Amino acid sequence: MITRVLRLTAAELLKLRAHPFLWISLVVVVFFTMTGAALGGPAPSLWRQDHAIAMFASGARIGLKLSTYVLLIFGSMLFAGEFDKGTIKILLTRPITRTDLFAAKSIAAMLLALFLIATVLYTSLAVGCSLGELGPVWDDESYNARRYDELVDHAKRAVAMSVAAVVAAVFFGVLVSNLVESSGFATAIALTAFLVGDEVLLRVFRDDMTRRFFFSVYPGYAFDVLRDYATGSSIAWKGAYVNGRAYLWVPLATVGACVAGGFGVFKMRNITA
Amino acid sequence: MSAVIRTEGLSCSFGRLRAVQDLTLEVADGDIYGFLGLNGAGKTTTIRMILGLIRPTAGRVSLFGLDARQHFIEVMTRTGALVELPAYYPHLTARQNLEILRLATGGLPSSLVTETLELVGLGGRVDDRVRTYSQGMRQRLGIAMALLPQPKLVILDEPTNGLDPHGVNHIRSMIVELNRSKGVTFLISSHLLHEIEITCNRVGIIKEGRLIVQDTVAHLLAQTGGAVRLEVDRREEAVAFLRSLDWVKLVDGAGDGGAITAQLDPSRRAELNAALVAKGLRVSALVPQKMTLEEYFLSR
Repeated sequence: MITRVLRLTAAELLKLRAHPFLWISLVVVVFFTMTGAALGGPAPSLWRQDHAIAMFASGARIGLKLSTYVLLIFGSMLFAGEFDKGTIKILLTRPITRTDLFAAKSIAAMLLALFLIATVLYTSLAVGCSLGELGPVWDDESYNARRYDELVDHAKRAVAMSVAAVVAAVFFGVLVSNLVESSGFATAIALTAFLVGDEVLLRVFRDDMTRRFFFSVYPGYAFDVLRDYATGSSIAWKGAYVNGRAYLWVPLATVGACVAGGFGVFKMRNITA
Repeated sequence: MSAVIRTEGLSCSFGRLRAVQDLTLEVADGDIYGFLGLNGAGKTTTIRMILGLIRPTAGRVSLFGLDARQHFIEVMTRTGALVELPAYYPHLTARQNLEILRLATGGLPSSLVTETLELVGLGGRVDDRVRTYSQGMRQRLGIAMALLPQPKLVILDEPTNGLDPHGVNHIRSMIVELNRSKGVTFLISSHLLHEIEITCNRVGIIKEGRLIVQDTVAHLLAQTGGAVRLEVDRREEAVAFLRSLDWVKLVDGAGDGGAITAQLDPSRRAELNAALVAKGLRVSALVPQKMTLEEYFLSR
C-alpha cells in the first residue's frame, strides 16, 4: 500500500505543479507577504528603526491569511475537480484502492500547505531581516528593554501556533470537495462556510475571543501578539490558547473530523461522473 | 474458453429506478464482445459495476475468474477502460496525462507512454496540451489511457465517438490487431451497430436493464435470416398471391428493380418456390436475405 500511495502522491504533485492556479496564487501570496512585511513598521526599537520581528509578524499574518484562502480553494478542487473532469473514473479503474487515492491526495494537500507556510514565513523573515532592525525593543509600558532572544522565542511560539491552523484549511476544503461533484461549487461552499463560520463566531464571542474555537483564529491572533511584542507593547499570550494548547487541538480536531468525514463519503459513493 | 468477465445476477437501483436487473453476462477469453442497448438501457451502469465504480445492489462480478471486489488490485492490473466520454487533465500534455496513469498503475516503463500514444495516432502531438486537441484526438487519448497498462481485458464505452471515418477505421483495425496478435479481450459498448457487426464475434443486448440476448454475431444473424428476395414475372399478381399465404409473414412489393421481399420460415423456401411455379408464375431469382445486426437490434 505504501508504494502505491507514494506513486499516487508523485502523480498528485505532478498535477499540482502543472496547475496554473498554483503559480498565480503563489505570486499573489508572496507579493502581499512582502508588501505586508515592508509596511509592517514603523516599530520603535532602541534605535527607533523598524524591527525585523514586527515586520516578520505583519508579513506572516497577511501571507498566512491569504494562504488559508488558497488552501481552501485547492482543497475544494482536490476531489471535486476529478469529478468535474471525469478523471476520477480513470484513477479508480487503476490497480489502486480508494484508501490509497485518498491518502495520496491528503499527503499532497499537506505538502502544499507546508510549502505555502514555509514560503510565507521565509519571505516575511527575509524582508524583515533585510529592512528591519534585529536588536532589543524598548517596552513603553514597563520601561525596560525587551531582549532580542526573548522576541525570537515569541516568534517561534507564534509560528508554532499557526502551522496546524493553516494546514486545517486545506482539509476543510477536502471535506467539502467530497460532498459535491463540481469544483466551482465546492470552492464557493468552502469559502462561504469558512467566512460565515469565522464571522458568526466573531460576533457571538465578541467579548471573549478565547471561546472562538475555530481553526482560522490562531494565526491572526499569534502574529498580532508577536507584532505587539516587537513594537514594545506589554501584551501577554492568552492562557486559554497557550496553556490549553487550543491552537493545536482545535485545528487537529478539525483535520481529524474533515478527514474522517471526507474519507467516509469518498469510500462509499458511487462514481457516476 | 474461460470467462474473462462473468456477472451473476447483477442488479443496481438508484432510488426507485432499477437501472440493471439480474444481469448475467459472460465474456470469454479472446472475445471481442459488443454490448448493445438503447440510451438508458443500463450499459454504462453495467460497465461501471464491472469496474467497481458503482456498487451493485445485488449480484457479483468476476474478472479473470476472481471476485472483482475481493481481488480488485489484481484484476485491475490486467484491465484497461474507457468509460463514456474520455477523461483527461486539459492543462496537461498527453504525455503528462499518461504519465499520471503510469504512476497510478505502477510497474510500467516510461517508454510505454510514447509507444501507446503512437499506437493510437497521437505520436505527433504528445507534448501539446490536451485542451488544444480536437474531439477525435481526445477520444484517441481516452483509448490510449485504456491501453497504456497493456491490459488483457479492455472495456471501451463508445470508443469511436467523435472520430472521423479514418479514425473509426484506425481504431477498429487496432482493436482487431490487438485481439489477434496479443489475445486481448474487448468489451465494446457502441451505438454504431455496423461497427459492432464487423468487429465483434459476440454480442449481448440489454433492454430496460435486462440482458435479452447473448450470442455470437454469426449465430444470431443466421437464426434470424428469414427474408427472401424474389424476382418474378407478373409482379402484382405474385404479390397478391404471396399475401394470401398465411405462412408468408411480410410482403414488400416495392423493392429495387421490381423485386419482392418476403419473410418466411427458412425451411419453407422450396415450398414457396413450388407454390409460385404451380400458380404459373415464373421465378427467375429467390435469394435468401441476411439480416444485419442493425435490423436485428431494431426488431427487438
